[in-house]
Amino acid sequence: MAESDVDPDEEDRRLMGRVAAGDDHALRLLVERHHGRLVGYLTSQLGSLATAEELALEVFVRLHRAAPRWRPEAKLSTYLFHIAHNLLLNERRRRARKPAGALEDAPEPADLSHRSDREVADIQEAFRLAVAGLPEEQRSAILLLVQQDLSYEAIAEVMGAGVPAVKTWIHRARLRLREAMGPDFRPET
Amino acid sequence: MNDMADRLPIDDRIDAALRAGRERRAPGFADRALVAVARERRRARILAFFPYAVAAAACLTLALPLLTASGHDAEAERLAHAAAALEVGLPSLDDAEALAAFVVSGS
Repeated sequence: MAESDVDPDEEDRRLMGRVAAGDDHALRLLVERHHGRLVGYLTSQLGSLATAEELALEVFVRLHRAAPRWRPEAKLSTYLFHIAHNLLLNERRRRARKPAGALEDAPEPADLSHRSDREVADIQEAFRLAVAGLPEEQRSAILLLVQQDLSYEAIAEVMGAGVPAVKTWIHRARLRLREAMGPDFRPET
Repeated sequence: MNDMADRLPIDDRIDAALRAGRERRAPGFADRALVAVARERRRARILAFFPYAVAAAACLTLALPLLTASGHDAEAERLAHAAAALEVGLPSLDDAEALAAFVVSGS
């Protein structure tokens, strides 16, 4: 059977079974399959690629630790985002206790060699700040829905909340982002 | 409350901007993840072994005065080294159990 014919969730379950049996190659395959989205999500949450990668590494360490007890009742991606969500909460608590240096939150530098690049970078930065300015639940919910294509039910599971609360957070996040960016917002210009 | 019910044109552009950050593939990430997992395995093994090491070191420490008092200086010195090794180096569980058994039977 060609790899494209394999159901991705079924493949995740198969690989998790092998990870539970101590197969590091299966763990490597799982990391390759999922780390891009995890790092993307965590970078959007934290504004720092380096911190996002650190947290993503910890997500996989915890996944490996939990593998023998893992039961495939939910999709593995939902489980990974659930671990990431808990680590994010811990990270925010840590930062609240000990404010991070300015560098830690600095966005990755953009290439500003052309005027149009600068304009695009300015728009991207304004959008990044608008997302960063959302309350925690609203930011997580809209990123998981729109950026990561999770269902409302999966988001509720990841965040340990009810579906109605998730819908309310997403609605409020949209209102805030509309207001922050204005009707002329053109991210691709 | 339906996310799709009251959509405006700007929502499409917001969604596009959010999706732009969907994936960030990091070169060498899988290698680093496996190193982190190997480090975690070692840590877990040490933590599992730690109570045995502490118990064995305590037994050895308790046995030292008895051996010294009975004139077994060479034995006492050997056990002192073993206790220090247990406290610092955390050898295998088999080694620790063997040492503990030796102390119990010897004292």
